[in-house]
Amino acid sequence: MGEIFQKRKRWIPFLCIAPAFVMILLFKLGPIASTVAESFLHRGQLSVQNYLNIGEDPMFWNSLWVTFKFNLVTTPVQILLALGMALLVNEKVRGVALFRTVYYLPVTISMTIATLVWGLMLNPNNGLVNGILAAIGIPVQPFLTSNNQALWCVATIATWKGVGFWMMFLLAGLQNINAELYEAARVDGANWLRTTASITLPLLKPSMLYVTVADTTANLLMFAPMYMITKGGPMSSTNVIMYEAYKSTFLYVDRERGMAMVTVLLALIAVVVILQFWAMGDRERRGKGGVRG
Amino acid sequence: MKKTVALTLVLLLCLTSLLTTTVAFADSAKTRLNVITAGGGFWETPMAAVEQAYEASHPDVDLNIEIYGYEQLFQVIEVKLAAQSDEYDVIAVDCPLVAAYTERGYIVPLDDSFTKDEQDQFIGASLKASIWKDKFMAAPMETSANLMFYNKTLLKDAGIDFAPEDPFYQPTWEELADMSKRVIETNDPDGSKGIFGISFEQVSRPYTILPLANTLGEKGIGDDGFTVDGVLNTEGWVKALTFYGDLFKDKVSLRGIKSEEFSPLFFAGKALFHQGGPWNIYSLAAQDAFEYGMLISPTFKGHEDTTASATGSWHLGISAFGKNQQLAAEFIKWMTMGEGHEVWICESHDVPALKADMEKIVNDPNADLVYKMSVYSALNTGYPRPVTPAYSEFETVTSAAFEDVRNGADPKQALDDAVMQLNTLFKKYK
Repeated sequence: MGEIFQKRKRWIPFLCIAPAFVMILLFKLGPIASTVAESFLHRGQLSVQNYLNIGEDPMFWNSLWVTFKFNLVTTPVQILLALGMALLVNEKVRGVALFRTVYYLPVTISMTIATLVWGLMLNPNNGLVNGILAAIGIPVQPFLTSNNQALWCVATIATWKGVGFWMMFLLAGLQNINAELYEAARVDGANWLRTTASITLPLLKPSMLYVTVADTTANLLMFAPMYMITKGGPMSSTNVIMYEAYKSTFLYVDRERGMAMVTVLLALIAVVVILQFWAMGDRERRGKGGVRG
Repeated sequence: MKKTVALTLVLLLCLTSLLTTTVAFADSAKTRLNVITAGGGFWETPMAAVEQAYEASHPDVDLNIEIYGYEQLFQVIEVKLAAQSDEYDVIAVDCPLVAAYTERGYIVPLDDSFTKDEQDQFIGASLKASIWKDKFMAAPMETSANLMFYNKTLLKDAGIDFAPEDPFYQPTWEELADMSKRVIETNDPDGSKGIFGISFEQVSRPYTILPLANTLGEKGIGDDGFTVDGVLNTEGWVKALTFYGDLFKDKVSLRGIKSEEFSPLFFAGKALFHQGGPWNIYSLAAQDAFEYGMLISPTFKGHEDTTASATGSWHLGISAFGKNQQLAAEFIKWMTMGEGHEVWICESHDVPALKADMEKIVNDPNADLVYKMSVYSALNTGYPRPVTPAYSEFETVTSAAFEDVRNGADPKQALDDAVMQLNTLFKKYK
């Protein structure tokens, strides 16, 4: 009887996660599989023609480059800022909770509202930012109407919105580090820089890995600011793959082209994530040695 | 006692359920006709009047009209009809998309419901836009015309004497740009009041830009519906877009302002000219910040004989997947040339697409001047947008190119890039 009860108990955890798993299957994995499958259909026939078509499409290559350029700059900046903020708010000073709240506040605003508000603030005619710049003697800037500045304005919006979120994960990682290690380092005469480099950063690796992977994915999938304010312009300077795929599917009604593009994006995300895991993952677990004791 | 109370409550509950069910059944005895249309933010009131009028004369039909914003409508139609949803019976079709929706299989012909004589009752430009491959696919609900409103108070303050007596006086773009620069220089030299010259209700959209090139003798797309090289990147197009780009470079108009933000700026007295339409007249009449005047669509100097103005508006088509196609056809006829059409034009104040209505306005000495001017434009200079099944692609790519020119891009480069993109996108139609 006890044995039967024990056998049944083994199924309980699976039963508990089953609903979530079914939802993920239905609303995440299912659509992904369907998209990938549809990308290999050209006019109803199994074919790689969709990929050959986008290979010859200058707009696709431009959107790939814009996506790559955006992430190459934005992701490291966001992670460094989040790390810096986490280190600051990890200090035990009076009122630090207020700073944590203020840094986290932008996360609570929806991307739609954040984009709209920033769009108004960056207006070249009467935006708040140009008003401040004019007051300190800097000429009025075109911001979102300039092909040189628009992408970095979008990066600023995404960074302002998201860096608080990543900061919290890194803060949690920092607070998991044993305080005795810092004591021991202090006793040995290590300064802040040495402590950070030799203790904090190595022990923060798991949190850093999560933040790096998640932030990279989020930035590769960036869409809202392009859809709401730049429309991929000026001069296709903000035309990331997600926006080009959206135009293809919903404006040009060319689903095959859109599916092929998002499949390429999915492959790109997978490659980048694998590389990140390889570079930052736990080498000991991989049996390649690592930090001992 | 307790049993009596309980019994009474149960009886009351049963009665309520029975009543509700009876009402529900009575409602479900009506046929539901679902319509999806544009006009979010400004068509709610006239469409409510249409619903009321239709249900009064068709008591066995429950008319449900869903209204969306301009961009959202296209996306909803794509999502629903691409999935062959039977959710809608009648769909609003932007006139340049009639060919595209026909090719995609979204709408079915109306030839069985509209005889050739009835079709001929619509004005030429609207009828041409309704037909694809010799089939009458979507009936015009209305048409449109651009008017140029202007702020007389700003002109007076700048000491500029501009008051044409002839309501059909043909202004030129060069004239308007010149007056704008003088007003800005005099009334707001340091830019602190935010006054500018020309406000565009549909900035950088083909509806606004195509007439500039059409006036110079250029087309938007070849007669085959797909050729753009040598059509869209001609010298005439470069000239038209150079003029357009210079308006923003010289701060006659503003960069960074969306279409829907321009009208409020004009109504607040910040702009000298506003390129809008008769639909603006009620907002203008309701404000008392400034005195306003009206002009017909401008032309370019030396091209008065080939003046082109924007025209065309919304049509109604039968969804190929709707369950009530016969009823849908009857509704479309009612709405485009029956009682519904009168209700619609009266409530929306838009320009009718029927020749008889236009003649009435032309011949009626008491007709509002705004409608006389709109009808004059529609009949004499109205130049319909290109008829092509690839209009979605054409509009998206050219809008982006026009916006790039607005933001300082070289017109020739922008047009060549647009041609390159369109040639790639049009490959799927060959």
